[in-house]
Amino acid sequence: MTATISSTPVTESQLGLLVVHRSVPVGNLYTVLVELRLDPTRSAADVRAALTAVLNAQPALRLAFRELPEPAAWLREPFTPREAPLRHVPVDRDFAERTRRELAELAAEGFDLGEAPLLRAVHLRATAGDESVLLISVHHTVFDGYSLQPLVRDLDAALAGDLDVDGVRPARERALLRELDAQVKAGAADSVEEQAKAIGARLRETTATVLYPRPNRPATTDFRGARRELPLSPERSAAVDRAITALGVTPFTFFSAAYSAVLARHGGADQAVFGSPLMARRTIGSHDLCGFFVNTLPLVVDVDWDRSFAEHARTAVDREVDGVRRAVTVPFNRVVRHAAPDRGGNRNPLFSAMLAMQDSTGTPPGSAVRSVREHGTGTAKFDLWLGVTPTPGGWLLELEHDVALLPEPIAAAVADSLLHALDRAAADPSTPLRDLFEDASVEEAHRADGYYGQPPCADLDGWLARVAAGRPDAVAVEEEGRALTYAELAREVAAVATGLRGRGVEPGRVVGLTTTTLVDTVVAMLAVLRLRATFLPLDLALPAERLAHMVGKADCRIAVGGGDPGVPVHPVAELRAAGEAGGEAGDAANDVGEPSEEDGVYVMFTSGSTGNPKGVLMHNRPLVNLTAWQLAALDMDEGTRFLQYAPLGFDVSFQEIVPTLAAGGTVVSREPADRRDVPAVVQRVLDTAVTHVYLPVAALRPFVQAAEGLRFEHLKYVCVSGEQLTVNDVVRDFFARHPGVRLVNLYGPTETHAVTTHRLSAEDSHWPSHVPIGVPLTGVTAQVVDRTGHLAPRGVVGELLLGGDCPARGYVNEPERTAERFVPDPRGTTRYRTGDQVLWDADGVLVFLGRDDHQVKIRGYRVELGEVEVVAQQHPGVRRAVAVARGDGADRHLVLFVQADEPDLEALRRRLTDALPPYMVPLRTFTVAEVPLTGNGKVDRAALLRQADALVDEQRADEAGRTTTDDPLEAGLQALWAELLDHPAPPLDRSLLELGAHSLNALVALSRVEQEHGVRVPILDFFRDPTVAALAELVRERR
Amino acid sequence: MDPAVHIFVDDIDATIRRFVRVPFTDASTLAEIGLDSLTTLRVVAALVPDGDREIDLAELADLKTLGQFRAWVAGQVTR
Repeated sequence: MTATISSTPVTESQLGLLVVHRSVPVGNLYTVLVELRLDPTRSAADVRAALTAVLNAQPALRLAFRELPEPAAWLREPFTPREAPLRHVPVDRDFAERTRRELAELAAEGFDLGEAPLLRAVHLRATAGDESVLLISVHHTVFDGYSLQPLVRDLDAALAGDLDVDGVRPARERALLRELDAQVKAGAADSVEEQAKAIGARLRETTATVLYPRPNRPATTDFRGARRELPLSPERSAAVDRAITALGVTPFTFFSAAYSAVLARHGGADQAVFGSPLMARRTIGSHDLCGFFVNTLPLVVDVDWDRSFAEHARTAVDREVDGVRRAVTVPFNRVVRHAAPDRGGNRNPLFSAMLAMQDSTGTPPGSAVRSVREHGTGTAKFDLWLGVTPTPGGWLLELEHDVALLPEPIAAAVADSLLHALDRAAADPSTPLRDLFEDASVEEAHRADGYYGQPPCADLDGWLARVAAGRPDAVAVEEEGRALTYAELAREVAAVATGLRGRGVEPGRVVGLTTTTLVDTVVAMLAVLRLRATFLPLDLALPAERLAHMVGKADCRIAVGGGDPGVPVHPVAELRAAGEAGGEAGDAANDVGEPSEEDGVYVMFTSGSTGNPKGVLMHNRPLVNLTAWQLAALDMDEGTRFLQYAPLGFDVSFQEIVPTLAAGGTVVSREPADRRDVPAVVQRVLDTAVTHVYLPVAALRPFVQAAEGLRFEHLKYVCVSGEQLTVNDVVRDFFARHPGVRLVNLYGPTETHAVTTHRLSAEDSHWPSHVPIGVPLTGVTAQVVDRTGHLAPRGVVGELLLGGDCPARGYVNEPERTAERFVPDPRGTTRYRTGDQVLWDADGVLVFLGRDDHQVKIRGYRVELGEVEVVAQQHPGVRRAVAVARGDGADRHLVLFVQADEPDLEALRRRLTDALPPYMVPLRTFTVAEVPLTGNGKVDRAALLRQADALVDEQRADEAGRTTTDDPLEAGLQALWAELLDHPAPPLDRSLLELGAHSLNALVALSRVEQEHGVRVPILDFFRDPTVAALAELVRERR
Repeated sequence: MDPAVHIFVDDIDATIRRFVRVPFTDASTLAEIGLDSLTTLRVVAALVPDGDREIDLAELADLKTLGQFRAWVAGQVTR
C-alpha cells in the first residue's frame, strides 16, 4: 500500500495519459526508458543511496494516481534506501548483452498508476569494476523529456554527496504544487479555450496524414513498435548545423520542414499533419523538477513541391512553429474535444505522426553520469515517431513505427526518404522540395513475374500460321455444331484475306468486324492480320451515333460480317468464295510486304471523359509479348481449351483467342449459353471440358455460386479483370474445393492490355479480401510516380505509368489525347499514364487503390468503398452491396445499398459496426431490388446517389429520437449522461459523441458505471457504439 | 538606466554566453545564434531567483532577436 502524505492537482495532460492508460491494454506504452552510464568506481550501495536521494528530492517520482471519485494525484512520503525500486545485477561477462536483456525486461513491464513510485531501476556493474550502468524505466505521467536533465543533475549531485535532500525536498514539493496549479489555472483561461477551438476547427478541415494507406489498414493495433537509430555522422551533423544557421531558423523548424516533406510524400498528399510535444513548464522552480509538463500540439504544414526547402522552412513551417509556440498552453485533450475526430480504433485521434525535439543528452565534464541514452520499449504510440536529439557526437535521429501499420520495408523507405531529404536540404537549401527525394522503386518497376516463352516470330500472323501448319488436324475453334481444324482455319483465313485484298484492303487500313459466330470472327480477325491491316470490333447493338463516331474516327471504310455498321459490309462466306475463286492468282495476301512488330492489330474503343469514346490502336509488339507471357504464365499448350466469353469489343477477347491459337489449343465458344446466364455458362464450361476461363470480376461470384456442388475436372485457370477484385468466403471455398484451379487477377487498361497479375490458389494461406493487382508481366515496366514526380517508395500512393512492351500506339486519329496520356519516359521508352492510384505494398506487390470515383473521403479519412461493400457482402443474405458517399464537408457520409434476401438491416449494421471504424460505417442502409448499372455493366453510383437523396428525406420524416424507456438500467445511464452532458434527456439511440461526449467524460461515466454496477466496460467498446442503449447492453453482457 | 538593471544586463549576457558559443549582437536573431526555446527558458531559469515566478510561454514566440530577448529577460528579472 502506498503511504501518502498529500494530494496534488492533475493537469489535463496527465488526465489524457490516464485515459490512454485505461483504454489501451499496453501497460508499457508510456514508459520512458533511460540508460545512464555511471562512474564504475561507485559501489552498489552508493548507487542505491543516490537513487533514493533522487526519488526523495524529486516529488513527481513519488506521485501515484487514482481515478475515483475524481482523477487525482497523491504524493507519497519519502523512501528509505531499502524501499527504493532498484535491483543490483553484478555482471561477470557479456556486459552489453546482459544490459540489453535487462533493458528488454524493464521495457516489457508496465506500471500500475495507483502505486508510487512510477519508476523502476536496475543497476548493472561489471565485477571487474570497469563498467556500470543504471537503467531506469519511468512512466511518462511523471516524467517528460525535459526531466532527464534534472534527474541526471540530481543523480550526479547525490553520487557526489552534494544533494541536500532534506534541504530541497520541501521547496521542490512546493514547486511541484505551484507548477501543477499554474498549469491548471493557465488551462482554464478563456484565451486557451479560444485557441483550442481555432486549432480544432482547423483540424476538422484538414485531411489527416495517413502513411501506407491501403484497404483493410488496421484501425486498431496492439502498439507493437520498432525503433531504428539514424545517427548523423559528425560531417552530416555539421552540414545540418550550417544550413540551420544559414537559414536563420531553429532546429525544430529545420527538422519540421524536412519531416513535413517526408510525411507529405509518404502520405501521398500536399500537406502534412503531425504532432509535437512542447515543453509547457510555467514556473521558474519547475525547471529543477522531473514531471510531465508537456502539451502536444498539431502542426499542419502545406507542402508546395516546387518551393525551395529554404522558403518552405522560413514560411510555411516557421509560421506553423510560431503558431504552436503561441498555443503552448493548450492541452491536447481540449484540441481533441474541439476537433471532434472519429474515435474509432485505438490510434491517436489527431495525428498519426510525431516529431519530438529531444533535450540534449550531454553531461558536464567530471560528472559521475558519463552518458545518457533513451531507448524504445518495443512499443509505438504513433504510426510514426521521429525523435531528434542533439548528442555530443552530432544529431541522433530515431524513427519508431507501429509494425502493424508500417511494416519494416515501409519504415525503411521512410527512413531512406528522411535521410536523403536532410542531406539534400543541408547541402543546398535552395533545392525544390520535390528534389529532396529520388527515385525509390527502380527495382520494383522493372521486376517482372518472369513468365515468358520465346516467340517464334515478331508478328502474330506469322506465329499463328506456323502453329497451324504444325497441327493441321487439331481443332482450333469449336462452337456448338461446328469445329474448325487448324488446316481449315488456315485455308479460310487465306481465302478471306484474299477476298478482302480484292476489296481494296491494304496494310494499315482499319476493317470493321460485325461477325456473329466465333468461327467467323476468328477467321475474319486472322484474315485482317494477314493483310497487316487492323480490325475494329463493331457491336451493332450500340447506338447508331456512337457506331458512326467509331467508324469515322478510326477511318474504317469496310467491314466483315453482317448488319449495317455504316460502311460497306461483306459476309465471311462472300469473301471466302471470292478468295477461293481467285485461286493462286488471287492469293493477293502475299503482296502486302514484310510484317512489322509496329503493324496495328486492333482498334478498341474505350469510354472517354469528354463524352466521346476514344479508339485505342494496339499493335503487334505488345501483343506478341503478351502472348509469349500468357502461354507460360497460364500453362497454355495444345491441350488448352479456352472459353471465349468476352464480347469482341473488350480486349480480353484477344487473350482468349490469339494465345490459345498460338499454343495450338482450342478456342471454345460460350454459345449457346447466354453471357448473362451464369449457370448456363458454368454448364458449358463443364460440358466442353474447358481448361481456362476469363471472366469480368463481377461475374466471378455468380460463377462460383452457380458452381456450388459441381466438380470441374478440367478447369485449371480462372482469370478475372475489369475492376478491383474482392474475394469472400464463397470464392475462397470454390478454390479450396478445386486445388488444381488457380485464380489470376489481371489488371490493365485498354491502352496497354493486361500488364500485371496476382495469382491465388488453395495453396495460399492468406487470401486478402482486396486482392492486389500484383507484379508486372515480363517485358512490362510498372512505374508508380508519386507527388514528387519520382518513383514512389514502397507504401506510397502514386499514379501508375506503364511502359516497356505494353503501351498501344495511341488513340487513333487523336494526336492531342495521345500526347496527353502516352508520355515519354526519361528513363526509357513511352509510358502510358493510367490515372489509376496504386502503391507498392510492403511485399513489393502492386495494390490498386482506385480512381477518385471509388475512393472517397469521410471527415478527412480515405475510404475505399469496396472495403465497406466487402464487409456488407459477408453478411448472410446480402447478395450485393454498393456504398456511395453523399453530402459535403463534415456532413459527408456513406450510404449503403444492399440487394438482400430477407434483409435484417439491424444485424447488418451491427456487423458493419463490429468490422469497420466508425467513419466507414454507413450512416444509412437501404435495400434495393436491383443495383442500377451503367451501359457497360458497372455500378451506376450516380443513380444510387439520386435514390439516396429521396430515401433519406423519407427516412428523416419517420425518425423520432427515443428519449424515454421503461428499462431501469437504460434510464439510470441516461440520467448519468444527462448530468455529464448537461442535456435534459439524451436520446437513447443517438451517438453521445454528437451530444458532447468525449474521452474524459466517458472515463468518468465508465468509472461510475463500474462503481454502481460492478462491471468494467472497456472505453473502446463504448466508443464503438457510443449510445445509452448500447452502453446498457454492454453493462448487461458483463453482469 | 537604473544601475541595478545594468548589473542584470551583465548577468544576462554572461548567462547567454554559457549557452551560446558564437558572437552576437542585439540584432542577432535567436535562431541564428542557436538559442532555441528550451535554451531561452534555461537562461531565464538561471537568472530569475524566484522559483514561484511564472512565465507566459506564449510571449517567447514574439522574441525574435537577442535585443528583444534581453529586454524581455531584464523585465522578468527586475519585475
